Amino acid sequence: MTKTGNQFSQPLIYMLIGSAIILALSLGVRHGFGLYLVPMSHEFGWGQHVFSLAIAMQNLIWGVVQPFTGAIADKYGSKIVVAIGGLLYTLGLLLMAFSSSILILNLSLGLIIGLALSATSFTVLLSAVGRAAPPEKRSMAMGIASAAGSFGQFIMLPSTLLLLKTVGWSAALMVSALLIALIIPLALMLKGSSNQTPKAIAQPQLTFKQVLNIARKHKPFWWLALGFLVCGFQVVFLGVHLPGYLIDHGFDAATGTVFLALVGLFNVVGTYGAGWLGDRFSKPKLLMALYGSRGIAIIAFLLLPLSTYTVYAFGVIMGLLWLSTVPLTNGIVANMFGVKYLSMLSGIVFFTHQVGSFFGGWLGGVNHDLTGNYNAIWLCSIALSILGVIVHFFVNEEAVIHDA
Amino acid sequence: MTHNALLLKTIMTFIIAALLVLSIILWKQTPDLFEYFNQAFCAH
Repeated sequence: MTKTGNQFSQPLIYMLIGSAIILALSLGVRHGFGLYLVPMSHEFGWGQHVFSLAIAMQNLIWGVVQPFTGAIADKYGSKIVVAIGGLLYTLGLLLMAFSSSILILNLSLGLIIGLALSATSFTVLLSAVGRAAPPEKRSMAMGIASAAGSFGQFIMLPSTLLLLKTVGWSAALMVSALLIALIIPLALMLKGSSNQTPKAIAQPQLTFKQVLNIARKHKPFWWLALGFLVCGFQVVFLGVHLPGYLIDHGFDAATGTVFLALVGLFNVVGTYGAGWLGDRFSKPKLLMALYGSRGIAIIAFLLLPLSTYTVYAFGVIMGLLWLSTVPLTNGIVANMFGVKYLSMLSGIVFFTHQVGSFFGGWLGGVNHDLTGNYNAIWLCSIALSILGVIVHFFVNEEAVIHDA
Repeated sequence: MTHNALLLKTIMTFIIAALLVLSIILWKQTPDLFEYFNQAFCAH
């Protein structure tokens, strides 16, 4: 099978399958961590802050080390980085399964799994896919891999809960460790370092420092990073605090579960669709439309009479807009700077996403504690949508560094 | 489209459809999932 017309080449398909399964496993298991809070806290008599701190530490470490893990993947290859990440993830889960002290929990769930996630999630995997795909199919390829990550989250959340209720939290973590161990052999399906891509011969021989310097001075890169901060803020605020908002307004657990399922399901459709659209239309304009639509959806959700139907409709719309920013944002970085240092540069952009995530999660709780409602943080989310539209107006995806 | 590509596409479609059905069944069996999330993150 050769690459003809709108088909992917066989090596790319092979690599996409590997990346898709790795992302589905890595992000799927990670999405279920919140479910362990209650059983573990009950068993060891911890306050909820203990587990929350480990989760917060995980997200912070993931964001901070991501540019460095990306740089290592650029230099030594995604294959080795993902394999080591898979090994760390497995060890982290096993250690967490046997943890009975706060120190071990922070070491496993916080530090080790945080490091592992930086090696087995979007930044490294999408960069590997971006390197393997021809520029005209890059966004679509990234969209497929991202959709697989979203699908992993959709399927692993109820699976984790069923497992947890059937065999208990410790055995559930050991089963998760077994699943994550599959990442190690799957990493063999990935390509080597950026130096091993055929295009590298034609690439200008810029050093790591030179590229970093170019990126530092390129304003659209920083506008893009700021836009991704908005994404992190909104997604984590809604993911963490919307259940509380619905409870405050008298909804039952079943409605909330359907809402979470709708977000998960339509997130798969949204990320795939965004990748497809990204190869056909301007990615910055698509991101402007996406952030604008998020703002409109939030305003409509707050203004319309709250009912089961509006909750479900909001779930569908936010699902479509959830991680659809990922293939578009990474695709823009690839178009701007080429693929040689894509993992490192995407890692910098991802760091701002994690900063936004931190504030979205934290400020939502602060707002509720101080006022008993989420009004200020809803307004903040709407204002950030407007900011998201504005900043992407200044982003252009023109190449600063050419691949060939 | 070659025979191999068509076969791969068909297999992938079936796998994705099967996983989708499995996911929906799993979600239907865990109506209390939301309660776990609420207890975990928004204890109010």
